[in-house]
Amino acid sequence: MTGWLRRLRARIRYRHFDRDLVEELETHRAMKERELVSTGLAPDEARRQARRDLGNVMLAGEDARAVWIAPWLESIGQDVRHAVRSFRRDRAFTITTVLTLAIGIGATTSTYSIVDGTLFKPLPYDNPERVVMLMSRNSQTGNLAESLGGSEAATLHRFGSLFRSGSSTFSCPSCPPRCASSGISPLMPGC
Amino acid sequence: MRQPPDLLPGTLDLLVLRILARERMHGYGIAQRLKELSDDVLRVGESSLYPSLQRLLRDGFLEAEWGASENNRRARYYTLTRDGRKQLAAEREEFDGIVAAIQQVLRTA
Repeated sequence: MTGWLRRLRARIRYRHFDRDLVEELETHRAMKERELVSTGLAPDEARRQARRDLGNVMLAGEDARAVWIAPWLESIGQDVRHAVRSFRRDRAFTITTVLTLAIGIGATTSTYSIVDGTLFKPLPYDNPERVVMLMSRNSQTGNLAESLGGSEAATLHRFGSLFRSGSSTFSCPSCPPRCASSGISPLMPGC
Repeated sequence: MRQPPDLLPGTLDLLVLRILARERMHGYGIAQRLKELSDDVLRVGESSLYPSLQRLLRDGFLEAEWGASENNRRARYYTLTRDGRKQLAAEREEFDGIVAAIQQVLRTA
């Protein structure tokens, strides 16, 4: 069995492994105590000295355990268990916290997705920079017309599609290359 | 009491392997034997003996099983494995080399 397999086994059978170690150290302490008594020490004193000699049993155990399991890994496990227990004890607090986090994260994520999709990402088809938005405005009142007039619609229909080139000029496959857009009324005179 | 001298790093593992090469033994027995055999010069704190045992166990040089001690206590006995014997031989050779080198420096410097 290779080293990491043995370690894994120690990790999985951790309780068993730990019990062995604790019991072993306790055996050691008891044997020492017995020996000290046999040298004529008072039982109380023997017990105290055996305990002192073993250093701190806990500490010896910690050191021996650390050989197998990285101590930081063990302490992460403890922290997680502690956290779960505290959450369970205070339900209302936990629910509030979780909801606050969930809503906060959700809102931020969706805001970002919307901004990214509308402002940053190119449109999902070829030559997106040539897409144009057409609006029809009533020249007397300046109001936006609700729909394109018949002749404008017919023109659009004839070209099938329109392309924008430059910021204020229009062109289309069969148009003269550039028509000033400022004065378009009706749609693209001369096209 | 004077503090027991520090062992060279890695030496404790070697001594433990050597002691266990003779017979299987529990932790307390190993500590006792080490003390006896070194005329009380080498005393190992449990805080270094048990990590050493765990290390040797982890690396497959020892096997451990529970058994009854002389006083009918449950004790954990350690046995040297085949790998452990090989390791003992290798570490011994290495140790002899280091000691010889140190001696040589001491004598000739």
